[in-house]
Amino acid sequence: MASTSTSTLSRKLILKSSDGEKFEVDENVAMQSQTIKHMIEDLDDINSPIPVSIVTGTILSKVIEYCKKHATEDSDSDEQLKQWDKEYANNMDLNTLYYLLLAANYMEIKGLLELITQCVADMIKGKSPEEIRAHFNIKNDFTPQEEANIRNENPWAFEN
Amino acid sequence: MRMKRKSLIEERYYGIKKRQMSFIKMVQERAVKMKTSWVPFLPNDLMFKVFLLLPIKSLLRFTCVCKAWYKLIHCAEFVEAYNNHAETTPIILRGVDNKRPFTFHVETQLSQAESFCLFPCSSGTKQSKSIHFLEIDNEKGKLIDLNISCSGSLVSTCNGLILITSMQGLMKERNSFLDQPLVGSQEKPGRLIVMNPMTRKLIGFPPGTLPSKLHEESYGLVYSHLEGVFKVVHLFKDKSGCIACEILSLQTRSWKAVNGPVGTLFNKLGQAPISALGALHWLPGPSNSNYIISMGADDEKFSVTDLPMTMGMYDRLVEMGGFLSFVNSLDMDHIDVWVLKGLEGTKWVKQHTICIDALLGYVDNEEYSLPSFGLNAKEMVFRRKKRLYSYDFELEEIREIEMDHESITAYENIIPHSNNLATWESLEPMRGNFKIVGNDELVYYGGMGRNFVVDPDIMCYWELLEFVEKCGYASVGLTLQDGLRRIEGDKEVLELVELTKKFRVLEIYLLHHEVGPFSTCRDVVSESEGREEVVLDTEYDWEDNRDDSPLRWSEVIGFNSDHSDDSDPEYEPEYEEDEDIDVGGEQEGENDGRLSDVDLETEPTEVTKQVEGTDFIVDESDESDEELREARERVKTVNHKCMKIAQQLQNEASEGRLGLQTKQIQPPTAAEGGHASDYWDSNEEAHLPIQRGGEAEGSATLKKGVSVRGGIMPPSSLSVSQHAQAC
Repeated sequence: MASTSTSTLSRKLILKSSDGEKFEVDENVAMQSQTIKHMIEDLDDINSPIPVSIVTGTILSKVIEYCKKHATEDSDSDEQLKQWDKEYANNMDLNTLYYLLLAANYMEIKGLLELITQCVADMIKGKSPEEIRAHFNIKNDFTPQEEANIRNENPWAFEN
Repeated sequence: MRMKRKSLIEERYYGIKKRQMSFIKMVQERAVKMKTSWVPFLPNDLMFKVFLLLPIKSLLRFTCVCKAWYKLIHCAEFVEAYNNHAETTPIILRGVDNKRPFTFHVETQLSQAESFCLFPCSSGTKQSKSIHFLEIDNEKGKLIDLNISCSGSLVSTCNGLILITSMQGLMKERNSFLDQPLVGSQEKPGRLIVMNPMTRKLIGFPPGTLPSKLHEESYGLVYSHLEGVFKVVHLFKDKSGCIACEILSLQTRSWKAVNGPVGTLFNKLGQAPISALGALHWLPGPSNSNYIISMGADDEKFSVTDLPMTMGMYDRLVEMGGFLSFVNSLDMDHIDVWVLKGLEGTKWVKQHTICIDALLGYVDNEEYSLPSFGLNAKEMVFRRKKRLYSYDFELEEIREIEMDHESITAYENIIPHSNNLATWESLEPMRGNFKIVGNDELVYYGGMGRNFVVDPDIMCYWELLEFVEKCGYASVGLTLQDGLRRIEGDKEVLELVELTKKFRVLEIYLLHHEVGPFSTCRDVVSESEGREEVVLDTEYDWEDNRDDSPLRWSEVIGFNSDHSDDSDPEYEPEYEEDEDIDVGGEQEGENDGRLSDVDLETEPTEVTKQVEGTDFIVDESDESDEELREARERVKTVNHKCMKIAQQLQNEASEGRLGLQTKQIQPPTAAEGGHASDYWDSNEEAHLPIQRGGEAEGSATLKKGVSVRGGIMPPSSLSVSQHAQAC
């Protein structure tokens, strides 16, 4: 395709997850992460593995899956890409989603970060405070009176 | 009926309380069972991003999840960012038939809030109307009752706030001498009310000067971005028949007269102005005029802008996507939409022509469709009596908005508005907190993090100086326990460079200042120090000011033996972990003792040894050994005290006195395996380096970088750690 010339020129990088798993990826795939981009700039030896310190192998493989899809501009239309994004996010379980969010934030992958934040927002927006607390393991530190006051301020927000 | 409802609600809250307890219990149980399968703790900056995408309803609901979320949602940074996101949700005043419990009566609330009451309580009067907003989503409209009633009229909206004039008695005919005080008159002065219907915060003001004739006045609400202040603008016809203007700033809360629009004709003053482009805009007459009158929100000066066409009877000004548009019915078949993107020197651009055929079919004057408001940058809502239509400029399509349940009535005024968290009060800036995370690391969460990445090999004096200046005052030192120092000049900065080169890791600690509505007894600095500005100068007033004497921790942080933690900002985290995590609400330790016994027991001697073995101390060799020894002794003492306190807390915890605390389990990703250097390795737990987690395994990752993480909350509350990992 049109981008064959760039892909042949593209160097391979090795990313190393926090649990030691190694992934070989094209440079243009990895470069979607601003964090890695900055690292590469400082790197003398391109062949040494680049540690992605807070991301586990399972999560990193998902991140790479996303980056690969978004690195090949030629094949898909925007519409198709959006569809793919949607399916990609829908296939995640909750925990993966949160770790992915942390990873996208750490690796500074703008598109992925936006996708996952939107996904998390959609997921939590209908929940009740109790559900949220259980979900995020948050302790309610309001007194019952304080909480009642806040609820009474905006009763409509608590209706369905 | 009402009683029954009330008891139902009480029951509901009781149920909630019960559920809360069971959740806490559940959380505790799960913490023991499934330590690794927790939802990872999402730091505030990520929650910030998620919250931005939530509808306001969810946000308001989530304010009662915990104090940390409440604070985050109500902090200045979030409110500003969120308000920039908010979409138009028009607001409607409609008559109320049935009273609902917990109805919020604007006037009653106001008279309660004010010490005296200038006007009668009107909560029970028959004119009271309730505020609804219209949610439009995918061509579906839904009226939502906010359960707020008011008896005044809604005259203007701006950036999420509404302006209500509550002027009973003023609506009668009056003669032209009536701008004297209303002593003895039957009429009562009304009130201006500014309110955010979302947060239900409201504030009342005396109305402006009475106009010489009824309705010969116009109120508008505008926001000055330059000053960050909302202003009420009042245009009125004075005794001499001139248009005068006065402005009330919500900051100073008093009226001041400004120059009115000179030499312009106002035929119709009764209309509300449109707020767009940082100004208020009036169409001066019902028809045949060919200019608009604008008043800049910042400079409070009036100007005249020519219209592209002479305006007709049904023409309107509409705000659309922040710009001003003039909707002009050219003839019976077409409506032109002109857009003005700036005030001075910019020209109106004819953006769209809407074909009326496409719009509504048959049109006569009685049933004319009036442009109502811009929904967003590409949709405008038209209204034809009861029906609403949205026109999509991109698709050039008009669709009727289907109303769910109730439709609007022909006489109800729809006022563009956006539901957001705007307030005239000054908000707390976002602050972070120190948290102990799962692997016993001290992390600074919340606030706004800053990372500076530099190469320690080429890091120069100037770069470091820049960091320090960006962060505020930094204390130079190896760790808290080794003694902190303040950057006084070149010497310290050069020392920083040396340290960074040597250890590849450097931590800069800054004073963390915590004040807030929910700050607890751990509110360390505020207790001892009232004002933020002076914290660094007085609280951090270094007794030992000589350039190169290593300051003792106790002096730096004002540690005292009775461990009243009111002057110990750096030490706060440990206390928080051990006793009280009110503010954060995320991580509490069941096994509180863990940290303390692991970390502090072996610490004193080790630290001292390491202190002796570093260049940092050697650098100080021009000082007398005496002093060094003394300093180390003091460090030792401090460490012992720390340990004592930690043990005490641990005991308390084991006796269960620390109450319902559960531990947040962190993602296993942080800080496992990688180590910066031997030096740091051995000290890590003891020193609780900030934000180590992100970089531990990344020792090689960041092998050439120094990253500094800190807060940007001026002028205090900063915490920075700086790492340059070993090659």
